[in-house]
Amino acid sequence: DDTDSQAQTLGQPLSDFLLQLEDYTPTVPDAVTAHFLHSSGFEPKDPRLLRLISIAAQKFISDIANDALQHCKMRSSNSSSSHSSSRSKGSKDRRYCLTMEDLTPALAEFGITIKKPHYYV
Amino acid sequence: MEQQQNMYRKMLTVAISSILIETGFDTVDKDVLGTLTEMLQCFLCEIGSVSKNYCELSGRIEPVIADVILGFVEMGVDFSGLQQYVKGNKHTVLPPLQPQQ
Repeated sequence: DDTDSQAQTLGQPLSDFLLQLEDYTPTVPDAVTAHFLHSSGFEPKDPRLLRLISIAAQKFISDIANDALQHCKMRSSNSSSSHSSSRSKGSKDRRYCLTMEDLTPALAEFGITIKKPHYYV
Repeated sequence: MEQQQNMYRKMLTVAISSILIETGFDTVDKDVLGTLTEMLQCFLCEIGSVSKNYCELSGRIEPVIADVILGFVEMGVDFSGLQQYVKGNKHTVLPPLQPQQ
């Protein structure tokens, strides 16, 4: 049928890629991915399909994290330029902490809006 | 059941933590980690249900790669960079779970 053949031509490089996943271990364990896929009724026999989804999920998080890191670096370099004395110490040994402040603009670029209630702790 | 659910979510949290360390972060706020865990779980469940629907729409019960690709397209996931992502750098692998004696 039409949609199927269209997907096949679209996915040609991806099916080649699938063959390489035979002995690759993604960060998200296969069993965990399988559990959540099963919970929505998707039960692939081929473990490589599982791995493909694991990698896609991993990249999804990784892209967001990368974006947030850029925000974090930009923000900290801006704030340190106002205190010029701390800047001379060098940004090499700076420790980066992922906060909501950096995550929110990073997610906004992906079109995801997060609204967390701000509790008084 | 509840406890098992917690176990799987904990594994997702660990996976996210290692991805964040890989990216270059040293520490992470707890609420951020919670948000990312929720997003990753949601991503997995969503791709599962969308792919299953495409599979059943074509009258199959065994999912093939085309179903997953259509799922990615529907979710707006760009899968062209996946190959590069895998080859680009070495990714952390979590230690395998030890069976409880």
